[in-house]
Amino acid sequence: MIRNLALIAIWGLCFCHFTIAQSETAELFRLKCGICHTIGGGRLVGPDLSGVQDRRSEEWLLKFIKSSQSMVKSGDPDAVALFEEYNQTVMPDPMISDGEIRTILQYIRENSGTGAGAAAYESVLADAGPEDAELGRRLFDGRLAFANGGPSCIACHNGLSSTFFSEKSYAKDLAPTFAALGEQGVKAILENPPFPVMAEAFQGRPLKPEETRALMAFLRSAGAVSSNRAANTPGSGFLLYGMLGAATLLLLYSALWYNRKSRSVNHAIYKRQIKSFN
Amino acid sequence: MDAFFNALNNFFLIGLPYIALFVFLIGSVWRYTSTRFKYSSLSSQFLEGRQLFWGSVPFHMGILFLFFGHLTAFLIPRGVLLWNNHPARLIVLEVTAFIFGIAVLAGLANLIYRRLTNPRVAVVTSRMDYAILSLLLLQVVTGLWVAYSFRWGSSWFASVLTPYLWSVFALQPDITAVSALPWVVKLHIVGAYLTVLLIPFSRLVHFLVVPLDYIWRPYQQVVWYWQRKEVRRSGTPWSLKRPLNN
Repeated sequence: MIRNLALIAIWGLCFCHFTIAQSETAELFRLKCGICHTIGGGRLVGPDLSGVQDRRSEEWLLKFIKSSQSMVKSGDPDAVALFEEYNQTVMPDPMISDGEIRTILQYIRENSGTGAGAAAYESVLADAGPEDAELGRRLFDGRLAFANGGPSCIACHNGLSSTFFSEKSYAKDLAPTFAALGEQGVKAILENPPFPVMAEAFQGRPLKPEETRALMAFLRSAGAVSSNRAANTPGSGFLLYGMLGAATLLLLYSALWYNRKSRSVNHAIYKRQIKSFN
Repeated sequence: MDAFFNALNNFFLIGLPYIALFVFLIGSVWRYTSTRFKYSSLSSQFLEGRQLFWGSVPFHMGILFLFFGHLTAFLIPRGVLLWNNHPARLIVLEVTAFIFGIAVLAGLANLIYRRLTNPRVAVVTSRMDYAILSLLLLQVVTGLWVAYSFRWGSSWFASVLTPYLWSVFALQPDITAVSALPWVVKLHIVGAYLTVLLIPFSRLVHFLVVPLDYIWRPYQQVVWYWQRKEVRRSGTPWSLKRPLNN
């Protein structure tokens, strides 16, 4: 009797462990992959991963998931083709171990064809108007602060609409984003940033749903008018302002220390000594 | 290859800061206690003054602004983000910092040129001086590069670099986000750690012993306690009263 109970307990523990492992893998998939991919739910930012093992070998997938950009740069034809097909959107390195990647691949294999993660998407921009886009622009520029204290988008992305902010920025130009990723992709990235720097910037300071919606409306409108922006926007003159300012600063120093000594005190003695030495 | 880059990131972003801080703390105390009279910068103003003005003043004014700018973003990142929330304020901050950065570069170029070309100054220049000047040049060039090419640094410093630096001080270094930054930013960070590491062994120690009290101290009072006229008379033998300041 006791033996049977022990066997049942062990079997139960194993089953619990299996269930916990399954849910952990599902969570890992959701955090690391689910923002951009589905399993049987169609294209999102990246391809639908249903049956991906039938299309690529396990070793290829392992290398690509670890660092897709390394493979693109090394000229792997399949990696380059995928990169081009998905509008050169960079897939960030997930920073997880080989073992975790294999676990995720196993999870994808088990759920391929079952429709897991294939939830129907409902648009949040159906009734968004110009006032939503304007609200988004103000959030983007920083004129309106995010409720949870996240940095404004303009900290890293160029300004789309403001001349001074149209030049080099740390991160990507977002003008073509909406057209490239679609509403679902943009929403997924804003809600759960997959890029390490962006994730850190919004760590503990997530966007509110209404802020996400306004930003999406702005990015949609900015993408529509961006085609002539790049051609017509003059340079901001950041470098020029810097050079002129520095020159002014040097003149200011010169004026402030107008009564400085033009030579060191023993200059004449030194010159005389050098002259006699030569 | 990935393992190699991971190892590099781990060494330069986790190992190096601790090495630099440890060497800085121990080295500063050791040097102060062992060679106290050399715990400053050897001034060369007596040897050459005109070029020094165009080097030292723009360099020091600029580096003070930039140092305290970085320190502010490290200590109160929230305040910097709040300031930057309006595009006009962000522009004012970034352009001002960029102006001071260019002035620092101009000043540093003058200082390096002076050290290399003036024979009097060259004589009192050590190898460590050249090393420090080279390191500072690297820092200023990469700093300007970052400010120009990866805008706007004041905001993403406060959002990304400050949490990393705090994680280092909390002995729980998290380099996930910093590892993803462009290599030139990482080079700037590594240059900063190397500068901290070299402080105790170079002329940079002078910033630890800045004679700030010079600003508010009273004028020096020179009290002569012998007959000046008597001392200066050629007939007075030195053995009788040797002037202490000669």
